[in-house]
Amino acid sequence: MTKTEEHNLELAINAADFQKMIVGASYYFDREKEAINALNVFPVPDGDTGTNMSLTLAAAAEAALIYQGDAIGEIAVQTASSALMGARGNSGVILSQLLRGIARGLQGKTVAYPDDLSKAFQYGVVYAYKAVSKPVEGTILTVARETARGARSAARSEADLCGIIETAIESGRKALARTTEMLPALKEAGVVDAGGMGLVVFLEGCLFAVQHALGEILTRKETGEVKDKLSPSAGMTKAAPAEPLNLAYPYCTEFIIKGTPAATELKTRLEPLGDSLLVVDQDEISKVHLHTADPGAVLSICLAYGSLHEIKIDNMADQHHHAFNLQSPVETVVTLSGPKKLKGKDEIGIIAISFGEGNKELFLSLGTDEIVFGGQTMNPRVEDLFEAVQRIPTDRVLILPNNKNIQMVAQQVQKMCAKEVAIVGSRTIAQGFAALLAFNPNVDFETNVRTMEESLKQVKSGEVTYATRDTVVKGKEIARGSYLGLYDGQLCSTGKELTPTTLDLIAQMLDNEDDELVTILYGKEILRNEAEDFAATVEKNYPHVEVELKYGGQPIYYYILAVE
Amino acid sequence: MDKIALVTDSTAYLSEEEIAQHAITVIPLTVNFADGFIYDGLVDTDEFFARVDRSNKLPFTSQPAVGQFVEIYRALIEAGKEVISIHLSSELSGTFESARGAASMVDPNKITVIDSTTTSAPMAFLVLAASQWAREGFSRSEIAVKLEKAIPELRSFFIPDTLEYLKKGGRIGGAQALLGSMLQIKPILYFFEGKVEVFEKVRTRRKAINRMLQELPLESKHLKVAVVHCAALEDAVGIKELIIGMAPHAQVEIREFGPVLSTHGGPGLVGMGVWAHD
Repeated sequence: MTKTEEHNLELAINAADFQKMIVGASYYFDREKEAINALNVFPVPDGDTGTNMSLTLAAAAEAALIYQGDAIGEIAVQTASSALMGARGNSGVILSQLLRGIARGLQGKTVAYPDDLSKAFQYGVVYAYKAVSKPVEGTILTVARETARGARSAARSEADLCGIIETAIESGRKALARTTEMLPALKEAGVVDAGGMGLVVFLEGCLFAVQHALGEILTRKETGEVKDKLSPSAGMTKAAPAEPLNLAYPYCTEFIIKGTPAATELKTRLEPLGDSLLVVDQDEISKVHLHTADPGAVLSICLAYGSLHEIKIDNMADQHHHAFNLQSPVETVVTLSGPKKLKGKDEIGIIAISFGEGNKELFLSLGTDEIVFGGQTMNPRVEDLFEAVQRIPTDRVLILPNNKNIQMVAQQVQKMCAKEVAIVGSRTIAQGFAALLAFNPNVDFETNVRTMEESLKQVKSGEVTYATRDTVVKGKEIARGSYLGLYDGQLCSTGKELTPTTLDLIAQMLDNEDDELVTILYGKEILRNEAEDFAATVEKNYPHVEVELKYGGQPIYYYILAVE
Repeated sequence: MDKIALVTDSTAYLSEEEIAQHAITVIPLTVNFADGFIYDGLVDTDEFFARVDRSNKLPFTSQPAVGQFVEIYRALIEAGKEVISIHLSSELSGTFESARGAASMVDPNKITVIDSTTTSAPMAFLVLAASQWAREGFSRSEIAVKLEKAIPELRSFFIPDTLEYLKKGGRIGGAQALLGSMLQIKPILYFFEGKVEVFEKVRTRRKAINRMLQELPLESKHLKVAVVHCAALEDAVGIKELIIGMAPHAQVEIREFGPVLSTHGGPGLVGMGVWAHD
């Protein structure tokens, strides 16, 4: 223990300090997340960086708060592992990896001294870089590297914890300011990198925590000051103002009927009893999911169709009262592993990440084994995806993220699983469908991954959403609330009215004379007859093109389009 | 004149000229409607589908009775012939088994029954080639060997316009998985080990046709292609032209489905049968 003697004991950081920092940072971050969300390059309701990092930190804080021991190495490891399981979105995954690296640096220690902390920071940076397959400068990685450098120089000059974090923040802020110049997309939008900003805010939160007592932090959390942050779905509420959680139907009711499948009839009978209705038949089994005010009535009706199993009734209002229990926002992860015919170990399992009931059914009808709820502004946790992979009985599993912001979460799951997991790089729902069509159960895993990857190029993706703030893109002023048409992720049409904006988008997507099919998935805010009228207009405008209209049921996107 | 007589079933859909020229005996399968049945063969498919539309239920198809084979084999043997009898895939129909049963009853030493493992145009290729070989003087056993060698050289692809007929006909094997799809799919089906399987799934007919054409073995020295169709002559003509453009050395013809295969394939089906060898 000669090493300890070299340290200035007053500078020791213990498990309680660590706990306070993580819990405090989580609280602090939550207040700032909207500012980070607003840093999107395009003002579209996007995989909100602030929300994702906030939820990831909340998972970390949950583990920190319940830690009973007194070893900083131990609490760091537990916190990091909880952060990883709760990680959402690319930035959430990177943050969780930073925490993992820090835990690696602190492993086995009861207390840490400034140079331990500085080394732990270095580990954090290494882990964060390793998490990204092609690290790009001008992102959270650059900021992380510079904060670590700041921490090191502070540690060398014998600074205390406050001093180290302050210096780290200062270096981080400088690096953050430079991100605008480092990435053209950021420069055009005139913003700094959102993930990098998130990291600085996290460190600010740590500093805030060091300067306050844990009791005070927790009290603040409980008071009115954070009332508007109680709901984990703040990001979603903003994104879908027309769809607040409908507490007229508080009971999320799910069960299986074994008997004669009668989905159509059941849907008609259950429709008046609530919303978010889903009835799926598979062989002799029907799976029912419904938000209702009267679960009893629902069960009584369904008893006439067979025996009821795996009944699960949750009061969704409860989910909103746990400050730290941040589960998937609004809709729970509904999987259909029950009624599906189980695959054998040697077969290939497929998981798709999707949102909207209609899209879910479409994915299932195309041979997906499990659906994990998620998409723009509602990225699933690593844990959600991990569990889905575990549930599938096959040894090899394909993941279709269908969103670029879910790629890294999928990669983490790939690393964690003993199963052979491959990720197909589908960035949109349309690409997900294309990939599924390319799947061939009779060829090997690698061939499937390759042909599915190849198939992504066969389809052009379009999305119609709305602007979340006033902005200027390519010299064009866009008012908050305007409709935005995205073609393969790029903004290409805007307008005050939905139909012309969408038609403009379709006109641009139909840029090849070989294009012959437009698939339109209409969102939950679009009425059926509205969508049918729109599809008829497209058919009239492009007589040589086939139009297929389906209910996607997704929030946020009025229309999801596929052109092929 | 010839010592060898060729027998096949109606799903080869040989033309009247071919049947007459090669003196081929064709045993028809049948299509059964609620109000009676028709014999399979080259009939007017528009009329056939008009009748399908009129009846409430999709008709079903039946294989020929063993007795029909017995009768024909017996007559041919009595006329001093040996018989080569070529039939549609035993995975799809009991026709081959009936033929084999009949052959064992009549004279197994003079009758060779061949499972083509396919149907329609590729089977027609086999029948016509066997006839040619017989004229060239090959013996029944030599022809049987040549046929067994030719069978793996055959490939056939089909692009149904609707999956309804396949679904109701029930002979879809691996295509079963397509039926649940809520999105429109234009699958390319093919014969694999005698069964109809999914070759590839695409969303549009044009893509399916282009994809199918990519499977033409252009480098093969001898390339015989039949564009098959079910009430889709115009498309078939277009596909034939595309193939001639791609493979000027290929021998390309158009063949139509009759009632039995139409009952399973449905109107609008196009496809191709290919025989390639060096």
